[in-house]
Parts: sequence; structure tokens; C-alpha cells
Amino acid sequence: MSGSCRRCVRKFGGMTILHKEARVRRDRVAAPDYDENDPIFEVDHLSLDYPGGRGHPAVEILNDVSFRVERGHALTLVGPSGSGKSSVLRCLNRLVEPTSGTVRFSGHDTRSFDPRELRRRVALVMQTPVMFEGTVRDNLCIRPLGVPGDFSEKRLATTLDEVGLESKLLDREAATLSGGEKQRVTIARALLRDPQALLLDEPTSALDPPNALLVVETISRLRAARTLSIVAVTHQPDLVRRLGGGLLYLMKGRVEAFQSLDGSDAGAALDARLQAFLAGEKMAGRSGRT
Amino acid sequence: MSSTASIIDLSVWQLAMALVLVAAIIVVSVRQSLGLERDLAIGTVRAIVQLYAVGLILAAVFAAARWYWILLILGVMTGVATQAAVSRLGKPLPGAAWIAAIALTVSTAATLAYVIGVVVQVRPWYEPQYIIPIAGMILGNSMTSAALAGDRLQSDLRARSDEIEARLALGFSGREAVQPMVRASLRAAMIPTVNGMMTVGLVQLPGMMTGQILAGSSPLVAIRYQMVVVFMQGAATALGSLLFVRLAAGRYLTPAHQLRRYML
Repeated sequence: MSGSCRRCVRKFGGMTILHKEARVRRDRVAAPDYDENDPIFEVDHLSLDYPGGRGHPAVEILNDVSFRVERGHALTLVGPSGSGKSSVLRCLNRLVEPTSGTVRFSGHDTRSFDPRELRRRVALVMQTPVMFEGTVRDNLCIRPLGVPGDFSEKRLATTLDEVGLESKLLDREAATLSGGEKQRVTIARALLRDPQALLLDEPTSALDPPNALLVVETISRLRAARTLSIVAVTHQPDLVRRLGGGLLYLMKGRVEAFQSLDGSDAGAALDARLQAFLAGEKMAGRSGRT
Repeated sequence: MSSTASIIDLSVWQLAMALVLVAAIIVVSVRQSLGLERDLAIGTVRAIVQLYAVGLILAAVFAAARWYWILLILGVMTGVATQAAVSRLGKPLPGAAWIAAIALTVSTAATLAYVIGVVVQVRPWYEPQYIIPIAGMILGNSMTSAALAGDRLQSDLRARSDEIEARLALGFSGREAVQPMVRASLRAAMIPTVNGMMTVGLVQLPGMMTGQILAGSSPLVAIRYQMVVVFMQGAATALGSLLFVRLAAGRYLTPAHQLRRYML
């Protein structure tokens, strides 16, 4: 085991205690215990390294990234392939463990939540929609044993409608859906958990243009209707404009530029790279997962 | 009732005659340009040397019949099996040797204790004539199935990492998220054993039964032993692969229910 790995284990050891406490209090934690004025996400000096293989140095993924997202607002992460955009999202719902720095969700360090509880509040929609075996209904209702929630027929139908799908799809084998339908089912699956924030990891990049457009419309509609807090990674200028909020440009794991797209700053001079991006120019390469 | 007098002892001359069979493989290899001559030669020499050495050691242990010698031999056998199981993993996994050692030791010890102590009722338990061949068969099965399960687990975790993260993102625990891959690897490891039970004795006589019959046992005695062997191999397979896969899957997860993608 490499030195850096040993360090993780010790660190995780400490977190196990937190996580056990959180498990005991799981039902009580479920009630919203935040101050409306707290930003939904507050990220401070976030760094992430992956341990290198035997004899290889650690690989730096993120370096000193800081930003905040106000409740009900949106933030879009842009940047070339390998710049760490997906990794930022994965730090927000703690799918990966930052090497240093803090991520606060609703005013609390994400490490003070049971990670499973955190992930139910901060839903993630991935680049390639993952459909589990079974029907659309099975895919919408999938949840760990004992987790409460409203999964009634009525609710399923309403939620499908919210993402622009008909309720007759409920009994279709999920594997037979088109790419765009699958992605909208994963969005519905996320919404059914009543998340406070939605993380979108290039939700349209695996789709053809008509399907991508449908997904963009779905997301913008949801944003307006639900006042969801959204953090998105996307290469679709259209989606960025419709989400509004902030635009963060990442490069090699560092924040290169930030731009607010609404409020009084909106008219201010845009960073040239962001301007080019919004004008529809291609970023240097399509992003892979980082 | 068996008469050991019927066993034909093989002379060195007779063994040399058996080497003619190796010549047949070499002829095939040369004529078909398989390029296996060198490996065949090495393999033949190794087979002779290894088996001879094992024969000498076993003869000494059988003569001494001390429990500590038996434990030492079992330890060495487990060590070699551990090494072999780990070397078959597609990608190195930190701590794999320990995981394999624990899985093989526990599965073999449990199965062996039951077979020796309860089923066959060997007294004393360390009677080398029984414990060494039986332990060898159990260990061999545990090793093969653990390696098979481990390799399948690694490739499944890699290929289905998005699915695992999708489950984690929906609030499943790490253990719940990898359960489908754990199940698939266990199935893959156990199917050969279960299929083997279907055809046992019909296609070819199992090694142990063949040996007993050659040694002069009645086939009716031999089949009883063979049944015990089939069941114990099944148990060793299940136990060995289950332990290995569970422990190995745990290495890819953190206590905070995260998948260590960089290890895949």
C-alpha cells in the first residue's frame, strides 16, 4: 500500500465514527435543518489527488478550487477535457473524498452527513444514463431497503410528466428506451427523491441533437418550476444560458475564471474564453470523466 | 479386503517407456509448427523433478507422522495456492495476498476439519494418508474458484463502475452497490463445480476414484469416497470464492461508501 493510501485509511477511519453516528440519527437528519440564508454549496480550497500506482507520484486532479452556489441558483462548470469538472461534482455529493479543503452543504461540512443521506439530498445525473434491469417503474422506484419516500403511481406519473415523458412508459423495459428517454428517466429518478440540489454531469453529451435539446428543455423547465439548486457540467451553451447563475472555467484542476450570468454583473465584460464558449465555439476537446 | 499385492510397481525402465508419450507431443509440435518444444522439454523435466521431490518429502512425512510436520506441509501448500490465486488477477490489488491467504486458509480449514473429523472420522486427525491428499483437493478447488471469482469481480467492477456509482448516488451503501457484481462473480466461480457434479463419473472417472481403484480398492468403496470429495469440493469452492470476493470487493470501497475508481 502506498503512503498516500495509508493516509486515506486513517482519515476514513475518523469518518467511520461520524458515519455511524449519522446512521443512528438517520430519521432525524432527514428533516431540513438548514438556514435559508446558507448557500447550498460552499467549497473552500478544495484539492483532490489520486494515489499513483506503485512507485508513481500522486496524480493531481483539483487544486485549490473555491466557489459558492446560493440556494436556488445554478452554477455551470466548463473547461477542456481532463480539467476536473466531473471531479468537482463528485466532491459535492462525496462520491470522491477531497484530499484537502472543505465542502459545505447547507452550511454543514459534507463529512458530517451520512454519505447516503447526503446523496439523497444532492442528486447526481450522469453523462451516460444508467438503467438497471427491469421496467421504467423498477428504475424509478429503486431505493435501499427502509428508505421512505412517495413512490405511488400518481407520483411516478406526475414526475414522468415533469420530465416530458408519458406515464404509459412505466411498464416498458428500461433497456428499450432511446438515449434521450433514458436520460430523462434518470432525471425523474433523481427528482423522486426530492433533492435540494441537482448535479448534472454532461447530461446531454451522449445524446443526438434532438434528444439533447429535449433534455435541455426539461432541465430549464425544472429549474424554473422547482427553484432547484443546480450544478452542471456541460458543453451546451444553450443550457448554460438557460440555467443562468454562475459560470466557472476550470483548467488543469484550477479555477481560471468566474462569471456571473445574471443580476447586475450580467452585462459586465465577459472573460474572452467564456465569451467564446457562449458564442458556441467548441472547447478544446470533449470532456471525458475526470 | 483390498489386496495391495495386485499393484504393479513401476520400474525406472517402465517410466522411461512413458517418456515416449512426450515424444509424441514433440512430434505434433514440430510438424504443426506450434513452437512448444522448449516449454514441453522444461515442463517434462519439471514434472519429473517436482513429483520426485514431493514423493521424497511425503515418504518422509508419512514415516514420521507427526502433527507439526503435517501442519508445516499444509502451510506450504496454502502459501503456494495463495500465490497462484493472486497471480491470476488481471490487475494487482493491494493486499490481495492477505485476502487470498485468509480466504483459502479459512475455507480449507473449515471443510477439512469437517471431512476429517466428522465424515471420514480419521484418528488421529493428522494421519498423513488421509489429510494430505484431501487437503490438496480442497485447496486446489478453493484456489481455482477464488482466482476465477476474483478475476471476474475485477473486470465486472471495471466494466460496471458507472452502474456502481449510480447506485451510490441514489443512496445505496457500498456493499449494496457492488452486490450485483459480487453475485455474478460467485456464480462464475461456482458454475464449473456445479456442472462437474452433473457429469461426474459419466465422462471420466475422477482422479481420486481412479487412484483408489488402481490401488486395489473396490469401486464401491471408491465411489463413496468420491461422493465425499464432490461435496467437499463444492463446499470449498463456495466458501473460498465467497470469502475472497467479499474481502476483495471491500478493498474497492471506502467506509464513506465511495468506489475507489483509481484502483480499477
